[in-house]
Amino acid sequence: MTVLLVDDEQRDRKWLKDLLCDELSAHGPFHEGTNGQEAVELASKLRPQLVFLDIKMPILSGIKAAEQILKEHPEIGVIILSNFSDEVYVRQLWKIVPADGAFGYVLKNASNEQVLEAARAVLSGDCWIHPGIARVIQRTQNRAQSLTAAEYEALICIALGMTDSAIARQLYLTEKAVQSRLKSLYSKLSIPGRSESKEAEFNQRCRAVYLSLQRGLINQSELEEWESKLMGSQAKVN
Amino acid sequence: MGILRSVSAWVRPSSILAKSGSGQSPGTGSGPGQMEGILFQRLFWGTMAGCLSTLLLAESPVLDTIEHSLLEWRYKVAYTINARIFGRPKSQDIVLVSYDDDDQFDLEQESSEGGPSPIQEVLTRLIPVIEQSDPLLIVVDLDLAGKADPRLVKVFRQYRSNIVLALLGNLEDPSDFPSMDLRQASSACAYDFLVQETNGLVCQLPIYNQDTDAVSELDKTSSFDFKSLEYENDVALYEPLPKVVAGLLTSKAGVGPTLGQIPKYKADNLPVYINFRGTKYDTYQTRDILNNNSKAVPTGAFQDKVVIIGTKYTQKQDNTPKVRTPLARNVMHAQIQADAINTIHKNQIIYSFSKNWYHHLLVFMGGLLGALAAVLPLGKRSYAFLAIGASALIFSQVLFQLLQINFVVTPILAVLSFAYVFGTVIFLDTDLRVRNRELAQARETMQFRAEQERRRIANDLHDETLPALSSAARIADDLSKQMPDNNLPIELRSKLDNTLVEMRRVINDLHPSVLETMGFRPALENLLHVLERDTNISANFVDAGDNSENELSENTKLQLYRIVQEGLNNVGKHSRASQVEVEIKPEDDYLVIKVVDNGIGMDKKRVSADSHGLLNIRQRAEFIGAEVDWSEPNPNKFEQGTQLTLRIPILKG
Repeated sequence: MTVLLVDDEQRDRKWLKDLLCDELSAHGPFHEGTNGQEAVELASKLRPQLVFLDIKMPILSGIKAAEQILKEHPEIGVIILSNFSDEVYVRQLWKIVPADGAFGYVLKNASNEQVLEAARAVLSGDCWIHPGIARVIQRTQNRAQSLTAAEYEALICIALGMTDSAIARQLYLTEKAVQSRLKSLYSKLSIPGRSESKEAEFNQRCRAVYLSLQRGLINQSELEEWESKLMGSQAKVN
Repeated sequence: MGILRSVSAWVRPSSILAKSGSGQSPGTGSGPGQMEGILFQRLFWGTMAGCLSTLLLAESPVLDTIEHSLLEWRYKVAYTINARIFGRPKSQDIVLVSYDDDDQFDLEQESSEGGPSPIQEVLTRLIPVIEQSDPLLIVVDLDLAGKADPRLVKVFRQYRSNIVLALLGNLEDPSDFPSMDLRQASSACAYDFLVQETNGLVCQLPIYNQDTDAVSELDKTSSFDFKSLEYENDVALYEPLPKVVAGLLTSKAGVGPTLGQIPKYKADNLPVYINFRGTKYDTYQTRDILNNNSKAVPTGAFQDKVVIIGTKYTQKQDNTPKVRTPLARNVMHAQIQADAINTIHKNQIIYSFSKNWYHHLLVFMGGLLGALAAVLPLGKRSYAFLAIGASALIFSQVLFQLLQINFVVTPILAVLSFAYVFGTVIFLDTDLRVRNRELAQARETMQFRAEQERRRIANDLHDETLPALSSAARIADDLSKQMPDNNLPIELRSKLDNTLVEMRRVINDLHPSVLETMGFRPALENLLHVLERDTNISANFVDAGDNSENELSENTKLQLYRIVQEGLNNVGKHSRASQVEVEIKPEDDYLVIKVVDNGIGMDKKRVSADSHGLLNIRQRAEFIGAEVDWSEPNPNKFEQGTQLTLRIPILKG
């Protein structure tokens, strides 16, 4: 069990290392690198379970390094820890990470909890994308499969455990409209409908939340944010 | 640094900025090759302009007029100055006999009952008196129009070998001299020639070269035709003076050109004599002579002298080419005659502009001056030309005044001014072009620097400010853990997060980091994704899949990125398109990038060519040496819309 921390900023490496030593010492030891090239070499040598990569680094950028690392060792979990919020990087990760692989994209202003959350998610094979970015990425993936804003809202609501009528009230919609949104959400996440398969073994709602968690469409911090927002607005409504 | 190398190859920022900053001699600012080019252009066009203006000028009759005016001015100055310095010369050869209103005779009065004018009677009495005093020659300068007095005719006949008549009008023209007797009597004498013009009296001693042996009909037209100036017929209307008078003057008084000198006077260099009352003459009144007033007229006053008898006329004041008359009023006509004789006496041949060798010299000089004017710096050029002009004028005046050499300077002055004007125009024209080029280069340098500076700021913000804000945010996290009841740290956190988002946007605007971290094509593709995200336009990226952009410098790629960004920005804002496509592919030695949309197309009338967005694109393209063009899209692709095409040369190897 090894974790690789690669960043050209000594300050950031130290912060990360301290944090991980405190909270995830079981996954140690922690090795450090200072640029993309080093990251690739260390990854081949150490076969770490998890690699933290900054994007802006001398010699080789984090994104390029991730590409090379994943090419040789697709099983390694990669977390990009950067100050760039452009979704282009997330999209690029999506491209280079194998279908069943896991990755994280964390902005450097993340709280310690968010970093740990991402690390744990990736270690357990899920994707984790920093809240601000995740919201836009839904709309810019493959057009046919990406979620619309309405579908995304519906997804958040069911993940928070709201009923159809609660969602309808929250979003100022009829229940029917809510149901049609959920339908299209299920189809995009490729969850078979009740009518389509008699042997439907899954509750569609729970399945949708699970799949989107796994794909990094939603994550805990994001839901927390939404919850505080929605509860606040509900409080006002009530 | 690849960027620095490639840019410095053609911008050379430091040298350009230094030169344009100091604003000095533009020709030296832009490298030796360019400067030689400019110098050559200036010399060439300056010479051409100088030669051309000289040719035009030399062929123009205006020059003759100018020259005569100048000549008159010269004489005037020379006589005035010389008279101040040396005093007015006193004529030893010529005396004047004048007549005015104080005399007992009234010449101006009409002749009574168609009879002869009173002057004829005066002359009849006067001439014998003077002839008694044994003069060399009597020049009678009078208006003899009207009926002849038989007594005067007698006197003329009696003394004809010793009389020259200066007549107003043509002796052989009956309309000028109706009296047959007088005409015949006068014809026996030598005669001079006067022309009555509407604005006054002009006297002319019509000396001109009439080849004595070949006075044929043909020659009449080729020789200087003073006649045609005043008379319409080509018939010889008067007998010219030279053979008759000149010989007489020369043999009797030793004044005027000798017969041998006369052939020097040609139509081209007509002698001009000018009177500025530069000479003092002994003048006697008719009254005194006739009354035998020995006090006023000493004995022997006329002995061995040329006596000019004249009356008082008011002279014209304007300038007529070829003939100059006194500029002051109330100058005796007799005095003009005397001065004319005096001038000729000095045998000055005054040449006008000669159209042979001097001509070629002038053309050469015009070219030289033109080249000079086109090359000299602005301030110096004016001084140089003023100095040349002034020194030529002064030099020639000194020559003229002291040595009586007439160096024709008008053409030089004219050529000088023409060359100055044309040369300056050429200088300014080339200068303007050089400055424009420098300006463009300076602008490019500025742009390059600005880009560098932005990048530096973006890097600073990214490397320093963002981490600082992030760590502040985490401190807020710690605080919120320590004070779970207090809402402030959470608020602080969200405020900081907003600031971070905003800061990231600013950094990205300053310098798109995507280019470096992801490469050129993914960065372009990202622009399309962003467009799709923000608008309802579906975007398509067509990539020929080679790596030809690797030949481009970082700066070029950045500018291309910004151009495509601006182009897509326009598509999103103005085109109302539903589809847009960015295509990148190599073509020969070019990398071609097309941004095609299916929108409403670009209305050339509506979108002015210098609108900010388009100007921005154009400037950036110019900056990296790319061609940019807007057109209709290929109809196979979209039926309408706009196509922005960028062509960037790729230097292989």
